[in-house]
Amino acid sequence: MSPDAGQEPRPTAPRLTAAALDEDVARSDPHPTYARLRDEAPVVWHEDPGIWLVSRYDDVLAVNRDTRRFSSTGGVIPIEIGIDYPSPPTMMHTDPPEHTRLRRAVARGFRPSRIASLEQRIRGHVDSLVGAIAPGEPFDALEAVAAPLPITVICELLDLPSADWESMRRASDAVIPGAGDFDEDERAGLNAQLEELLRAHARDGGGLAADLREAGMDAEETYILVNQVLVAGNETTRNLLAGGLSAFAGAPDQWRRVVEDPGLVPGAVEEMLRFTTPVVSFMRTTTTDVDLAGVALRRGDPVLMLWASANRDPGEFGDDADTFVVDRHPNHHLAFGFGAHFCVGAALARLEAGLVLEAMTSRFGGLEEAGPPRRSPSTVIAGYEHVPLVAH
Amino acid sequence: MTDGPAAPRLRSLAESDLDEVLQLNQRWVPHVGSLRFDSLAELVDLAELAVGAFADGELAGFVVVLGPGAGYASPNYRYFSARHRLFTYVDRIAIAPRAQGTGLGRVLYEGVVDHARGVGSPVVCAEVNLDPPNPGSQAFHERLGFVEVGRQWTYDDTVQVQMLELVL
Repeated sequence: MSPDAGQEPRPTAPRLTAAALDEDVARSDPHPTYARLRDEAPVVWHEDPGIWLVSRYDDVLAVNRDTRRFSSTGGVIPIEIGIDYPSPPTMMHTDPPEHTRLRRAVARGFRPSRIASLEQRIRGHVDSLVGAIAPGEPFDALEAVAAPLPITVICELLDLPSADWESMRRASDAVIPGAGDFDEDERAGLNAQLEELLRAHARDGGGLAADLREAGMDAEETYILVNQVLVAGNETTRNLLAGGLSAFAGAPDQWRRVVEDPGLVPGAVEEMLRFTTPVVSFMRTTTTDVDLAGVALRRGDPVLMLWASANRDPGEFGDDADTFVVDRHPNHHLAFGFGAHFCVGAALARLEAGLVLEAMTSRFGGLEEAGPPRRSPSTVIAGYEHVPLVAH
Repeated sequence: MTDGPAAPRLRSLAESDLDEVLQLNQRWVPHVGSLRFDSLAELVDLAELAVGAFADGELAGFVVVLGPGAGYASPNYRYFSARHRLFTYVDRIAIAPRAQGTGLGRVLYEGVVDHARGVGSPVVCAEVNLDPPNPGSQAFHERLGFVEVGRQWTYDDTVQVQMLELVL
C-alpha cells in the first residue's frame, strides 16, 4: 500500500516548480516564473526535494504569521530538509516561546537608541564611500558601496576594534558558499578565523555581545546570535543596496523624482525592499495537516514562502507590481517577513539604505547602467556579483 | 525612594489567569465587549499578544492584541481587516479600578507598540465607544497619537464606536 493511500494527491507542476528552484533562472530573471506560479499553481508541490511552493501574497502571509502550524525548527532553506539538529543553529530555527526568549535578547542590541547612536558614524562611512565615486566614471555599485558599508556597520554594532574590520570583511565574504573568489582551503581558513574572532568577542566583547550576555545568554548562545547578525545583516543589506541601485538605474525617472524631492527617500527605501526582496524565500515545516488556499498540506510537509513572488503579486500591489515606483502607497511588502520572525535588523537596514540614497541623490542628478548587472545563482538570496553603474 | 505600590509585572496570560481576566473584562462592559469564559479562551488563543499586569499577585490590567488573518468574527476587527493587510489590532484593554490613573494603560500600550514594530506591523488599530460615551478612553487614545479613521454602529446598532489608528 502506498504511503499516500487515502490522502488527496498533491497538485504538481513539475516544469514550473523546477524553474522556480533553478539557479540559472534565479540568475537571469525568476519573476516570469513566479507570475506563472501565482496564476497557475499558487500552492504547488515540488517532488524533489519534496516541498510546497507558495507564491501569492495572501498565502505567504498566512504561512509567515502562523508559527504554530508552520514551524521553523525543521530549517529555513530547502537544503536543510531532513537535517536533525541537536540544538537550533540560529534564532531563525526556533519557534515561540524559545524564539521569543532569544529574540528579546537580540532586540536589545537593535533598540532605537542604539540604532540612533550609530547614525552619525554610518553617515560618515556613507559620505566617504559615495564621495569616492567619480561623476561620469563607471563604477561597480557592489564594490563601491553595497559590499563595504554593511560589514563596516556590523563591526560598529558589534563594537569590534577597527583593526579587526578587514579580516571580518574577508572572512564574512567567505562564509557565503559560492560567493567571492576563494579556494576551498582559503575559505575554510577564513571561516575558522571568523569563528575564533566571534567566539572571543562573544566571551568578552562589547556592543551587541555585551547586551546579549546582560540579557542572560550563555557563551554559545551569544556566539550563535552574533554570528547570525553578522551573516544576516551583511549579505541582505548588501543585496538591498546593490539591487536597489540597479533598480534605480533601470528607472531614471524615479531617480530624478528623489533628486528633486528628498522627502521621497523613506518611501523609496520601502520600494527598494519590495522590488529587490533580498531574501527570496524561507522555508517552514507544517506541524499538523493544514488547508492552505484550498490545498491540503500534510503534517511534516516543508513549505517554501516565496517572498520575492509575494512582493510582485498584482493581487496586492496592482497591475504595476513589476514596476519600480518610489512613492508606492500602500506598500506592505514582506521583504523583512512578517510576524514573530520579522527581521530584527529592519531599522538598521532601512537607515543604511536611506543614508546611501540620500547621499547619492544629493550628489548625482542621474544614475545609469554602465553594463548589465550580474546576479548570483541563488534561489535563497537575491545576490549580485557586479552592478556596473555610472553617475553624473 | 517612595512608599508607593510596586510597579506591576507584565507577563503573557496563562489559562489559569482567565477567571480573573474575565471578571475584570465584565467589570467594564459595555466599554469593552462582553465575553463568556469559552469565548475569552478562544480569543486569547487567537491573540498575537495577550498580556496581564500583576501587582501583589493580583491582575491590575490586561491587553489582548490580534494580528491580520486571525479569523476573528468581531465587526470592528473586520473593519480594520478590510482596510489593511498588515496591522495590529487592540481588541481590548482593561485596567482594574485600583490601578486607574497609575499610567498602566500607557505601559500596556507601549508594549503593544513594541510588539507591533517587532512583527513588522505599520499600524496599530483600536476602537472606543462614542455611544454609550467613553470620553476618558477617547482622550487617552488621542494623547497616545491615535486618530479617527471612521465610525460604525455595532451590537445590533446599540453601540457606536470610533475607529482609531496609530501609524508607526
